Parts: sequence; structure tokens; C-alpha cells
Amino acid sequence: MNKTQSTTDPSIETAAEIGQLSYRQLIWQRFQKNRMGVISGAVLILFYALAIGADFFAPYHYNEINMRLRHVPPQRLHFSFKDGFYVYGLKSVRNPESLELEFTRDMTQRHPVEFFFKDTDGKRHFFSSAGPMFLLGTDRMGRDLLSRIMYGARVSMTLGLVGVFLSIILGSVLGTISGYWGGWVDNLIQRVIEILSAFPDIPLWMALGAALPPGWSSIQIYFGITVILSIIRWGGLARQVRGKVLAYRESDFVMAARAAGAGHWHIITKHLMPGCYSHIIVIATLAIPGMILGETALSFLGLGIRPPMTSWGVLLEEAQRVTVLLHYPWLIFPAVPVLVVVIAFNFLGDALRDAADPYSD
Amino acid sequence: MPTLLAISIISFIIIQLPQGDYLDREIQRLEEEFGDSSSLAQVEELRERYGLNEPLWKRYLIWISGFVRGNFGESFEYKREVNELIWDRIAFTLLISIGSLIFTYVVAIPLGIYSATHQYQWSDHFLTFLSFVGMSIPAFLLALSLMVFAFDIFGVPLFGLFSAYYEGAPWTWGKLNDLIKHLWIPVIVVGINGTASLMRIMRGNLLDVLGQPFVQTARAKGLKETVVVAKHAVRIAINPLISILGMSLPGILSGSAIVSIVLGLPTVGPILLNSLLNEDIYLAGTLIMMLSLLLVIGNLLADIALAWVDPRIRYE
Amino acid sequence: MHKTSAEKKLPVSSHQFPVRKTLFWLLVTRYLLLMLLIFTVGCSGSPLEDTSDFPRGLEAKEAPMWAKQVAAGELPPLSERLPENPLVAKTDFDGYEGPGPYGGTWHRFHTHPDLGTWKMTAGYAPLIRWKFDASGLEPGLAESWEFNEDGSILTLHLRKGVKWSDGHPYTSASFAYYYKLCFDERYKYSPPVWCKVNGIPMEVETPDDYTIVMKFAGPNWLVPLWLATGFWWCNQYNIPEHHMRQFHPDGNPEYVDFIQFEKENIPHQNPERPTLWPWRLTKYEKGGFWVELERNPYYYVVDTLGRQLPYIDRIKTSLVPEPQVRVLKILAGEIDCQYRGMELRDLALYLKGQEKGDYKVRRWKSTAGAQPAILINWTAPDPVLRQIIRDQRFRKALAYGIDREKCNEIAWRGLLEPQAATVSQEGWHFADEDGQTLFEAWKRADADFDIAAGNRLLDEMGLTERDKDGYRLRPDGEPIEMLMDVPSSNLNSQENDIGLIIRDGWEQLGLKTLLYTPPGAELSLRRTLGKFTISMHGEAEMDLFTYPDWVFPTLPKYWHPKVGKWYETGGEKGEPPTGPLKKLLDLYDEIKREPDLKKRHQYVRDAVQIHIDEGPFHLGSAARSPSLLVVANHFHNVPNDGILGPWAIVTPATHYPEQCWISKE
Repeated sequence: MNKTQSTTDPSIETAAEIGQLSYRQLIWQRFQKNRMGVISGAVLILFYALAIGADFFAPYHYNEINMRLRHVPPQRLHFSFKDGFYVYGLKSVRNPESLELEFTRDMTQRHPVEFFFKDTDGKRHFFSSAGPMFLLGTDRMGRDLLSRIMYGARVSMTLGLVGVFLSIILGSVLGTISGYWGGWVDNLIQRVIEILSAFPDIPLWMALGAALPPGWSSIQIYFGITVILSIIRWGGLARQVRGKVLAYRESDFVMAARAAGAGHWHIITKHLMPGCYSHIIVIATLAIPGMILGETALSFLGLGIRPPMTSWGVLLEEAQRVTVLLHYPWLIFPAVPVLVVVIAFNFLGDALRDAADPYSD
Repeated sequence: MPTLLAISIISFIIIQLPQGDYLDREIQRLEEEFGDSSSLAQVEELRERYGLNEPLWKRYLIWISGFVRGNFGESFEYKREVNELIWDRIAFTLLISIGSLIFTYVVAIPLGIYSATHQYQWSDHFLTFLSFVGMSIPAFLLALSLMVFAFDIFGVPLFGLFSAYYEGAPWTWGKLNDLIKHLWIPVIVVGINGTASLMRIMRGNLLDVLGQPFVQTARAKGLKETVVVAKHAVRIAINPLISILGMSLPGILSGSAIVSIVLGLPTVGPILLNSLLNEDIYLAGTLIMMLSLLLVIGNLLADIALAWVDPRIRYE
Repeated sequence: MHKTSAEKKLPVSSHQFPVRKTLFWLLVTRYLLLMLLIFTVGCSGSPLEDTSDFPRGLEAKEAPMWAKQVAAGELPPLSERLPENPLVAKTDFDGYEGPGPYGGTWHRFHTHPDLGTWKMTAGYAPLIRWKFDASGLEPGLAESWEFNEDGSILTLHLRKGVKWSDGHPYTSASFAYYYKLCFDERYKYSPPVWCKVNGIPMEVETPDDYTIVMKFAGPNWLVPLWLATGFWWCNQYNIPEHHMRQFHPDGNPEYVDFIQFEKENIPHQNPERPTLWPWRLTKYEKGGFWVELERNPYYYVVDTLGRQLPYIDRIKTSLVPEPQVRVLKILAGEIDCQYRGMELRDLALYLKGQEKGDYKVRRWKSTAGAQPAILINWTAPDPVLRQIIRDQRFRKALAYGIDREKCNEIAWRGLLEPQAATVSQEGWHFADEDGQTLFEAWKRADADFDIAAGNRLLDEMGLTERDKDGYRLRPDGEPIEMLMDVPSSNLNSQENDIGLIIRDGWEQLGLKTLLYTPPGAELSLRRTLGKFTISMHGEAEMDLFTYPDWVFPTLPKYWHPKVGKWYETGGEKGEPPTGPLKKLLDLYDEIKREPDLKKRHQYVRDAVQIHIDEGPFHLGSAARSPSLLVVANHFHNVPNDGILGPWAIVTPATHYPEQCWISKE
């Protein structure tokens, strides 16, 4: 089961032969040729920018509750030369039987959208409005969905990065050790990975989720969940890295280094790791979507991020109701950014893989 | 075997990692659901009756020694032998998992071939995009959405594995038919993530193979392109997919668990989740063992299949 | 695991033939396996009985399915199956449409394998029953009962000729058998709490088959209530001794302990065990995933025309633990009548689906006094915080910091009423005008949202020092930290939403507020062991005599875990009560000794007055939600209004659901 497709045997020498371009430059050049890859990269940079700058870009604070503006459907943005961008006001009627609020547009009222809007706390927002302006609607507590998605991106997207970073470190260290030394070390590590992969996900998640100590703040829980996700995922990465190292171990330059009397540490850090890292980046890029989706699954099981913090997983979990799907369908919109980001990471990963592999084309 | 032993020990420990025991959970459940736990009188007596005061290792030894003899202990929540509870559910789990596997392979391979032979045409781009979408949709969302919209738009109630009429009825052709009618949602939802990635792999493999010299030789011999692809290239390109079979099992099993929870299917997933939440230790432990066993067996079968299909491996 | 297994020689052909063929065979074998699997699940058949020759309209005194068996000599005639003086089902409720025809199947679901929701509906066969409106007691298996003068001897007179579902007579021996079991060292259940006075258990005598005499060590006026309360006590004391004897280790050398006995004795799991329920169990499959019941031929209750109940032939109920699937089942019209298991948040959806699903949504009363109540731990673990909490001004300030209007609007769509935390307003303690006046005062006590007033009280207490974030400091220089346990298995639960709203309010009071969702059983452990500071719990109680804990700190629960422990263990463990808690416990002791019902009610009102004057001890949010019922349009005799809340009064069983009928085949 442990066979990896040892496809090719790329090495730095090949790159050097091509000319003055370094390996890195070469990858970059090849990457630029891949249109989807570049677009995906740009999309991801945009999303990360929005996530990091959510305080500024989001029109409202993500936990701002509006008692009488619950389940407002998305409002359409209009444009006129007189008012600039604006939305119409809202009229609400209470359903006499279910007491549910039902909203209609109030054409007599126009709430202009202001850029660099200053809110009551004196904080600037990229755009916002004095009147209610919910471009993606509001949730059951009257919170602006757009703002929640932006703040949620902060958690979900960094969680993927940090989680993959942790599993990469764990996976590549153990994978390298395993691949390089072989023997009983390899055997032991492979056994552990085997147990981990033969272990059903859900109990593992639940047990680790329950092990998070009480009284942890949202931030600590966030890191706890990241660690949980990476503990579960490192096995697969370690296997892939091991495969690469195995391939390299027999390569000429490692043999040469060994013959020259280089120490293990020297060979690993100076020869194996650099040879692997472009592959590791590819593997990592392709692993991030798994983390992001993993977070949504954890939230679905009620083990993920908890309010008042929010994440895409939390938002999707909150949409898991028949009532929502039939009456407030806009609340499943957070699935769209999840899709976009996951697809972008996949395209980016594909593009990087193609670029890192000199034998393709 | 050592793997399974290790899993049994680890799972038994992690099941009991959270504070409290089954009875504490039961009190909590009653209070959350009905605001009242007074129906659960005489808790301490029950605790002794279930042996919950015994140390962990002792409980483990009792359970594992029974387990190897096929006696899995008693479920606290269901007040039944674990043995009575699980087999049906394992059967349905297998049914859905195998169904999804078939779905995955049957759909992914032709699409992968099509995509590879139409590389960089709009249909290839479209399929690529579609497969990425398939890989990115959280299964739980898809499951509920499909169920709700199937009901709302077409008026077909597709939850559970049987319609109300056949539930609990003896097996007949009608019931079988009913089961098959209900099966497609879980099968598709569980299979979709796997299908998407499998299709990508098939496409990549076939492209690799199509670039190799022997294919060019075949083409040079003047064979038709369809023959080249079908007779020579696909054969080679499919091999790695068989090795993936084993690897895709964990995903399929945990996928079916999540989908079953959403759709309320009588598979292992929901009772596993429930038994873990309720610290119904013997039931949870047995289910984890069974799932792990399935995974190990699945890997073994995949290995055999691979060796069968690709004789090179036998000489490795 | 590895390559060794694959080293067997395989036919060379597999290499020669196109791989697609091998794959094809792989698929074929899988498909065959699948088919095999389906058919090994088992087959068995049950032909439907043809009862068309027998009357099924209102003229029939018994169900056609029994009439046929009587005619065939398989069942004794109706007169021998009914008691001499059968219990006549009460019809004094709004929504009673009259006697109905026999027949039909009632489809429903249950939410847990313990069939709790079913037992509350039709698993209630007590000696003494609660009335449907919970205004008092009425006869059940016992025709009448009386106390001696000082309340130390209770005599119950059983209905003559009541039979178990297997035709064996039900007599006083059943109760005696149960009570004897409680003293068997090998049996793990001890005598119930209510039979003890000053720690001494009662003595039970059965002078004849139809008389039970209970002798207590002192006055024990509350016993009839206990006998009527909840579906759990009656299902414990009604043991079919003639059937269970064969599993008793003393009667059967096969058994050395009570393990098999206990398994056989679970009424909702074992179709073999005779029952007194209106419907007897016929199928309990796959751990309760699928359950079927059919009418009990010996059921002792009749309708106003003297026709044997129940009207409906069969019950089919399936386990649906996932709430969203329940919603769809109801919308699809698969449910004939469902009393519990619907969430208020889905009301709009249910209302909209009424026509398509051919059902009506009805709203009964939950009588909840707080959904949820915010519990302030009187014995908080932190000694400094405990001193602060015991200051009435602090608790009042916390009460002022809750925006109940917002809780109601956001968590409950405005369907509830904002108020202070109380027990059930419909409880019989508050039935007259004075009671209602008092109750209204309780509901309004400190129930305003008034941040300024709250801040004033906190300043007055001297908690004026603040840290750099603006949080008030305790006398020892630490910030005051309110760690609120939020019970919730899902993220959009009402508790979570209300937690966020309360946090907003309390932060405005300068109190640092953290929300914490304890995993697993930790939540209830933190509650019962008194480890929490602030916690949440839904509050509703109709009868405080039997379940007094919301008002009187008698058990380790709610806002008084450690004081409750002290009372429960007779002062051995926990912490002794002080101040208002002592007064409350003294009042409860009075209740237990008091023969006069009116005076007992007065003691409860006195206790409520203490809560108003010296409280609040726990805080309200929103209250009095409706409880949803779904009733198909062909399903009849379901009350239009009723109480569907606390378990102790066993609704809806008290409206005799056995007289529901179905108007279609």
C-alpha cells in the first residue's frame, strides 16, 4: 500500500543546465504561463486581503445584532448619478400567525452607500450605510451576512494555512526521517500512520475536541482545532514526503555526498530538504482545501469554532435547517466562498505542480 | 493484528476521555430535551449495575476479552446487547459505501477518459471545473439540500432508507424497489467527492500514458485513435486507480457517516456519533473496531486486486 | 497486509485481456454481493386479518379484530376482559368530537430509543392519575384511596377485574412484589424516595387482592401525588409478577443475579412482558429504530358509551433522532399525530405546509417560566465571587442587565413573553385570584432591562474600581469574571443566542462575561457538583410538592447545588443553608407535614414571596412558549388546548389519547 507513484526524478542540475535561470525563477516563469493558476493566485490574495482587513472591509461588525431586522433578504444595490450607489429602505410586516417578520422594499426611502464610512464608534469602513444595507441579507439575529462571511474568512482561511503548516512540519520531518533512515524507524512511523489512517475520523475528532480544556478563549480554541486538524492530516503528507525522499535517497548527488563523508544532518538539510521543498509546497497547497472543508465538518458535528467567533463552518452549520433552506435560502451563501477558495487552491496547486515538474510539457 | 490491538486500546481510552460517564450524559440529555431528568431515578444504583465505578483498565479487559469471543458487551443507551444492534447497520453502511464506490468508478472513469481525450477543449475545462466543485462541496450541505429540494420541488419524500409504508415491513420486491429509490441520494452525496478527485486522477494518468512512446508507436502503426486509447492507454492508466481504492475507503466511510446523520439513515454513523456523545462505551468501542476492521480488510482487498490486475507488483 | 498475500499465481489471462474486463468482473461481483446482502437481511410475512364481517361503527362494543377472535373462541368475551367497574375516559376538554369507530394505524415518531415521548402519551397506567388540567388527582387503577387521621396510613382500593394484556388478573400482589424487590440486596434499586419518612421506609400490607395498605413512620400526605406523578413511577411499581417470576433468581435456578430480570422487565422493549398500557408492544426492532404496538385486548378503560378503548388498532413509530428529518416527515404528511419533538423555530414552516401535508398545527402551553433560566450559583466555587453573588444588589444588577425583549425577539421570534424566571403559572398552587396576583408580581420582579440602574447598584456595592479594559474589579483586585455555561449541541440554539445577548448586557455593566460550552457530560457535572458560576436551564414545574427544587433548595440542582446536596443527604454532605435558603427549606418541611391542601398551597406562595423579596436567585429571559402539536386532519379527539411541558403531570396521557380515532382507512 505504501507505493507512491515515483514519477520522475527532478533535480536541481537540470534547471542549471537550461541557463542562467535559477530553479526558482524557472518555476515562476512556467507558473506564469498557466492562466488558471495565476487567476487563482490572484483570487486567493484578494480573499486573504479581505479576511485580514475584515475590520475595514466589512460594512458592519460581525456580531452586531439587529433585533427587528432578522432574516432580511439580500438587498439589491442600485445606482443613480444623483445618489451614487444606494439601497431602498425596508418595510416589515409581522405575520399574524407565526409572528415572523416579512420584509418588502420601501421605494420611498433610499439609503446611499458611503465609502470610507465612519461608524458611531468612529471606526472607518470601506463602505457602509447609515440605513440598513444588507447586500447578502441577515441571519436569525439580524447580523449582516456579508460582514460575517468576511470575518469568518479570517478564521477559516488562516486555519487552513496554519493547520497545513503544522502538518507539513510534522509530516515532512517524520517523512524525511522515515524515508532517509528506513529500517525500524521507518517501520515504526509507518505503523503509526497506518493506525491513524485505519482509525475512523469522527471518534478521533470528537475525542480530541472534548479534550480541549474548559475556560479556553475563542482564540485558544481556534488554535486547538487547528492542532486537531493537523494531527489528523499529517499522516498522508508524511507518506508523500517519504516517497519523495526515498526517490532522492538513491540519487547520484546524495550518494556522492554520502561518499564524501557528509553527516546525516548535513545530507538531510543541505541535499534532501531543498530537493523536496518545491514538492512540499505543492502538497501543502493541495492540502489546504482539505483543512478548510475539515473545519466545516467539525463545525457540523458541533466540535468546531464556537460563537461569538465565527467561521465559514459555523455559518454553514447555522444554515443546516430545513426552515433555512426553504425560507431563508440566502443563508447558504457562505458555501460560495468556500467553493471559490477551495477551487482556487486546487487550480493553484495544479499549476504549481506543473511548474515544479520540469519533465511535463 | 497489532494495528487492531493498538486501535482497540486507543479508542477505548479516547472514548472515555471526556468527563463524566453515560449516566451524567443521560441526565443532561433528558434535561436538554424535556427540561427534566426526574424520570431517571436512582442514578447511583444504575452506575454500579453498569460497572461504571470500575477502573478503566478493568473495563477494557472485560470488554476486549469478550470482544474476541464475539460478545461485545451491552449498550447502556439501548439497553440491549451490542451484538443485536450493529449488524443491520453495518450491512446498510456497506451497502451505501459499496454503492458509492461503484458510482464513483462508473462515473469517474468514463468522464476522466473523455476529459483526457478532449484535453484543453471547453468540455474538458467544464468537466475540470465541475470536478473541482464536486470536491469542494461539504457533504452535509449537499445531503440536506438535495433532500429538501427533492421534497420541495418534486414532492418526493426521500429521507431515511424506506418510505413510511415499507418501514418495518418484511422484505418484498416492493420494499427492495423502495430501498433502491431511496438509496440514490446517499450514494451520490457520499460518492461525489471521491468521483471528482478520481476523475482528475484518471485524466492525469491517461494523459501521462498517452504521451508515452508505446502509444505513439501504436498510433504510428495506423491504429485508430479510439482503439489506441481503449486498448492500450486506458488499461495502463487504470492500474493506479485500483491502488487508490484502498485509500478512498476511509473517506467513503466517514462521508457516509456524516451523510447518514443528516439524512437519518440507519447506518453505523449516527449511532457511533451518538454513542460517543453519550459515552456508551461498549457500543462506541465495538463500532470503532468494526469500522477499523472494514478499513483494514478494504486495504487488503485493494492490495489483492492491484496484484491481480498488475502482475508487475508480484515481482517487486 | 503486504505483498505476500498477492504472490499467489494468478491466471496469466488477467494480464492479456483488457483491464476493463477485469474491472467489469470486479463490479459484477460487487453487485452480486450487494444483492446477497439485501436478501440475507431476512424475510417474514404476516397476513392481514379480514375482519369485515364484524361491526366497526359506533354500535360495536369492541374492536372487530377482537370480535373475530372471540367468535373463534381464541379470546374470552368482552365482559370477561373488562373490569367490573371500568374506568371511563374523561371527555371534558375542548376539542372532544365524540366517540369514534374502531380501526386504523397511528403513524408517529419517537426521538430516543427509550420511547419517552410515547410513554408520556400512552405508557401511563398509575394507581392514581393526574387530571388533564393538572388541577388535582382522579382514580386510575385504584378506584379510591384514603388516609387515616394523621396521614401515616394510606389505603388504596383497586378496581376489581383489571387484567394484564395476557389476561392474567392485576391485583395488589403486583405492588407487594415490587416493594419486596426493592429490599433485595441483589436487585440494584432501592425503595423510592417518597416511601420514606425520616429515613424509615414504609410497610406494605395487602389484606386482599384489591387492597393495598401503606404504613409510614409519620405523616406522608404527598404519597398520592407521587403515585400519580410521571410515567416512570407507575412503570416501576406495576410489575407483572406472574410473568416476571420466571426470571427471579429465587424462583429459577438458571439465574444467579437480576441482570436477565431487569432486561425482561423493560416495558417499552419487551413484547413478551404483559402490560397495562392501552396498546401492547408487538415489535421492538433494531434497538428501537422501528416499533409497533397493537391494542391491548384487556385494556381497562372504556368510552362514555361503555365501548372498550383504544379505538385505534395499531401504532407504528420510528426513531427519528435528527430534527431536520422530523421536520420533513411532518411536512410530507407522514405523521398522524405528534405531541412532542417539534421546534418552535420551525413554526412558520409547519404553518405553511399545513395544506400540502393535510395536517393542522396546534399550540398548547409549555407553561415554562424561563427559557432558559439563568442560574446564579449560590455556592459558587470562588469564595470572593460567592460573597459578591450573595449580595442581593449584585443579583439584581445582573437581572437588570438582561434585555429580555431582545431575547424574546431574537431567540424566539417574539412568540414568548419577556419576564423574570418563575415556575409554571398554570400550576395548581396559584389557581385563585390571590395566587395569580402574587404570580404576576413574581413575573415582574426585577424584570426590567435597565443598565443605568444595574450600574448604580454595582457602584453602591463599592465595586467601582475598574481595570484598563473597563471591567469592574473585585475587592481582591481581580476582574469580576462571569463564566457562563451554555448548554448547546448546536450553534444556533436559543441558549447560544440568549447567551450572546446577555453577554452584551453584562459587558455594559462592566462585568467580564465569557461563554463556555462544556463538552460531553461536563455541563451537567458542573451543575450538580456546583462547579459553575453562571449556567442555564429551562424552567417549568407544575407541582412543587413533588418536584420543589426550583423554589426550594432540596436537591443538588439548579441555583443551589451544594445546599441541595446538604438537604438531600440529611446534612452529611454539601453546605448548610443560610439566610433565605434556610427559610425556604423550613417551609418545605412544613409542606410535608401539612394535611390541609389549601395550607400547603399557601406555604408555596410564602416561598414565592421570599423569592420576590430576597431574590432573584435565578434570572429570567423569555417564557411561556407554545408547545407545538401536529394533528392530521383525519385524526380526532385531540384537545385544542392543553399543557405540554413538565413531565410530572404526564400530558398528553391524561387526556386519554386511547380515545383518539382516525376517519380514514
